[in-house]
Amino acid sequence: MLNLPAEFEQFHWMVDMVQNVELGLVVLDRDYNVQVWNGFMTHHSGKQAHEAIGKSLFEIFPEIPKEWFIVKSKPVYDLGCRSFITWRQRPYLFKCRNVRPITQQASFMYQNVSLNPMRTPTGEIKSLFLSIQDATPEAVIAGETGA
Amino acid sequence: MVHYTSFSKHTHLAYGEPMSLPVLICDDSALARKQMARSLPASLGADITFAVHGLDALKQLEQQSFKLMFLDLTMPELDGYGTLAEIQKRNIDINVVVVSGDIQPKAKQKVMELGAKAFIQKPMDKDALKQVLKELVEPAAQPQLYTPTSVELPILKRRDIYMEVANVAIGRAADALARHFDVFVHLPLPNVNILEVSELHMALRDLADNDQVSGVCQGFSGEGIAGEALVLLSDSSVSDLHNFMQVTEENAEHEELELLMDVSNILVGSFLNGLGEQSEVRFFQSSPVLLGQHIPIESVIQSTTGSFNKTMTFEVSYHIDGTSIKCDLLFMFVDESLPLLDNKLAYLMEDEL
Repeated sequence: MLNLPAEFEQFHWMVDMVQNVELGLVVLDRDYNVQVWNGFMTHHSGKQAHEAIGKSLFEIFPEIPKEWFIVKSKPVYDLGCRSFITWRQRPYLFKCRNVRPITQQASFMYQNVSLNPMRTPTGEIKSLFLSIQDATPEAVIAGETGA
Repeated sequence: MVHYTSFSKHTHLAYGEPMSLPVLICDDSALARKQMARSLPASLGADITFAVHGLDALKQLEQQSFKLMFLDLTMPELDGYGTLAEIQKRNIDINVVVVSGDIQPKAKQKVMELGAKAFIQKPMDKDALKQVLKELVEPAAQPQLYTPTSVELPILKRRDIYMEVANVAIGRAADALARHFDVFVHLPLPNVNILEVSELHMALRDLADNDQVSGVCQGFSGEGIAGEALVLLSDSSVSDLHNFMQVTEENAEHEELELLMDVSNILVGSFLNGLGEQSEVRFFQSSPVLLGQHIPIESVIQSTTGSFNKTMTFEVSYHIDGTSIKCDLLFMFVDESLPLLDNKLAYLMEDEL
């Protein structure tokens, strides 16, 4: 027999993992308003969840080129397929300070970002989620950081 | 030219005399012919003849008159567009229904201009077919008693299944590209082969044709089925792509990389969606990785010596209308994924006869 804890506790695990995973997780609605902002994003961007949630991504991060980002998200909504932004194309999407301020190897965090479709139970795509990976070590090895 | 000799299974599929409806089904894929024949309701009283490409169909049309024709677009010898044009030229009186995986809006528009009466997308939805039949076939005044006639259905091989599945998936990818960049994409005939390492390298050399290439690879997986996609763009295509997309000089290198990544991601993502839809697997592609820009094909080959013996390879070349832009796509499934994929597509093989 499986000996799993009650469903509410398992749900609590899920939330705990989303909050503390070593990966940025952001949910955006079709108007690019932030719906979820996990712990990684809070720690690295310095923006608290209550500062981000409900606001437009372009309002919180005016450095993100709007037109460009909309083109990037088009295949996600139109085709239901993933879209990618690698650090080689654009070093970062969100300007985040480096994780190690003292022995830092780069002045900001290089990022690999994927844009993923989220389907409603009826199969429509009304939102997407971003996963943000710290690619600084890769960029350092590639000698791109100028450090 | 006509492959009837290979058909050996008989089935009581349709009801013929006294009020049979002569129907011609033209498709190069044995699976598609079979599916089409099976989808026709018995009440139609269809008397079915098959053709394997456009020239074959024209020959059949010369010998016999048909009321209704189902026509594929992407075929060898003579494609669907050419067939429609010939039918118009020869003034043949027949209702043509195009059944195609090429779902670009411009493809539909083109066939309607060439005189097709309806367009049904693959894989075929029975309700869509019913609707079309209702519009094109006059209902019999009163219920009739039909005597069954038999039709010989094609025997399917594993490769037929893969070819047709690839056809539909390729149509999806072309449509995605067409919509994203607002162009018309010429749909190729796919090539499906089980290749060993050395054969794969030969195929790559063939594709590059002595030109330098830019290559992007992308891994994908879904329910244990894993593989890799390789997108190759020859240098002559890249320079055309620049003009086409109006890439500015000062930022050319950066924009080219981004364009390359986007094109390959869209092609790979939508092909996988098409494949996933038919095999009921949700595939996920991983981040695209640049193999190199403007490199000789030999360096691409050097990076394809991974740990595999055989790979099932879908090979596709897309060509954008009005340009010389040609984009080659290779989908490779390695050894251990093949039985899993076979299993997922087994329902297409099934014979309920």
